[in-house]
Amino acid sequence: MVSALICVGLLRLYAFEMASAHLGSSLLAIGVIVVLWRIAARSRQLNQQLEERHEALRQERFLIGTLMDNIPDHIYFKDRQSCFLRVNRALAELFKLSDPREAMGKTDFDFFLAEHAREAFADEQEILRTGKPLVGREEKETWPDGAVTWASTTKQALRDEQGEIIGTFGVSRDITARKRAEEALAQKTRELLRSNKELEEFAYVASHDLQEPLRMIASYTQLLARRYQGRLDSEADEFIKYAVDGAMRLQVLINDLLAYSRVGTHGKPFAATDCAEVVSRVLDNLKIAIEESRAAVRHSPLPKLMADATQLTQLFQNLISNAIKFHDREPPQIQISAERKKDPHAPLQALPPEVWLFSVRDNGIGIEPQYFDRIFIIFQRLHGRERYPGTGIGLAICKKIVERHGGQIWVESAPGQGATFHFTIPDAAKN
Amino acid sequence: MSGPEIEILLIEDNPGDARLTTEALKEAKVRNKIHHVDDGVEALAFLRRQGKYAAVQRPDLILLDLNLPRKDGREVLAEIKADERLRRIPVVILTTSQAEEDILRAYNLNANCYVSKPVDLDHFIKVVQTIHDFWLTIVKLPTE
Repeated sequence: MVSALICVGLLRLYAFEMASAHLGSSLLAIGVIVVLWRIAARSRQLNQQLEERHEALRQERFLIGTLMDNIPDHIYFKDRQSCFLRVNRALAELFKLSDPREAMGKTDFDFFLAEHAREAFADEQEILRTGKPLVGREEKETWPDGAVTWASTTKQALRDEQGEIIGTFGVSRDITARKRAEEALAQKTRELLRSNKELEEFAYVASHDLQEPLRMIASYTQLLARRYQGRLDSEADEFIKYAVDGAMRLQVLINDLLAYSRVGTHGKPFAATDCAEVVSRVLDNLKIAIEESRAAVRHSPLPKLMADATQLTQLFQNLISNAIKFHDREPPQIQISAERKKDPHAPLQALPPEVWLFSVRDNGIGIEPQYFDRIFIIFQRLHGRERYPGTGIGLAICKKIVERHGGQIWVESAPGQGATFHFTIPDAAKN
Repeated sequence: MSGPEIEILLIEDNPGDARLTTEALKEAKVRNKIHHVDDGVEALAFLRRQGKYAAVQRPDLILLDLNLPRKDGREVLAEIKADERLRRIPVVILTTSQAEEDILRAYNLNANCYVSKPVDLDHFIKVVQTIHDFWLTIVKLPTE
């Protein structure tokens, strides 16, 4: 095109020169040589450009070929009828074809069971209709030999140069191993939930049904004591006393067990709860104990959050009454506080969820570090019954309540230095 | 200890509980006579003076357990309250159950009151005597 223009130009020049008719033939010859030289140069340049384009095309083809022959993910192109235009080697191998070209003109119905082929076809028709891509779709692939595999597929519309949709293309990755692991995990989780629930129901039913015969034992040993105290010999009185004591203790244990299992089985749905109100109710409930021990209980501003108010009351009541109970000579000084924090126990992640961190600090006898975990286990006690009565249920119930709310509970203490119980409750409104 | 003897019908399948209740009532100030039946069918036969109960007096107070063999306490309660001749007899539910649904159901069936059996003996005796005193000496009931 360019050279043709140059030729036309030169011819015009030549005609002009002829018309002038005064210039010598040598000058004409030089002109022709220059023109021819220019044409040759231009032609070389064009050849080089063509060569470069060929090279770029070869390079492009090489890259595409490398991709199509080596990538382990499955790549395909399909026409509007979902017939394969091209598949990569990995997909050909998956289809047990010796050459990817064998897939041409075939459809998913030639390789999969209709169950999967139908779904894939429907997805592709949808893409053809809407032009919208389908990203990361998890597909269950069913095969004629009964095998089931899973793939994560991204498909989208294949458009020609004018932008018309002429088919679809996509990439899919086998996620069967991950899917099986997920299924196994989900199965395990279901089993765990079920066995936990069974265990809770068992504890509840057991403690509930045990109460009935125990009431008989307790009542009749008490009746025996009432009617025959001092009328038998002193040994009989002693035996009766131990029987009554044992029955009463068992009764307390069973009641505590019942209370413990109720945390899981009788919890109420979470509702907006004002912790300041909860604590003031607790202080009211503990009025006598606070007066008798001359305890001073203070608290900083406390938040409103989503919780089971009854359980939150029980939680604070157990912690505060422990703080009152486990004091030494000094009257108990108890400080309750709350602050919003990033969850200190959250696994490493970019945005740890926000939690309310509550602390109940006392100036009591404290706890040795080796018992920090044990105190939260049901019926674990660190002191003799005479000095500090109780079954050892309180902190176990606290732990269960906190965990039901999605939080954690722990203690910081040293003997003689008081103890601080910390617990977290997720800030549901923020997360 | 004068005046007519008070008749109490105790409907309770657990002999231990029946005995405890009887013991507690024995210590009551008012003279009473306790009749004990241990299932719902017997209870209704007693109240309707059927068969061997033809000669019994209609009780002044009924103490009813919920979990009974043959015909359970809820059915017995429903039948008593549906019976024109029996519905005015005060029925006190005396049971181990503290379940909300049991309490609600009992009142929906027009129980006169619902009491959970206390676990502690002293408390139990006190409760039984309180029931006795309240229904037989404090409240006014229609004379038949």
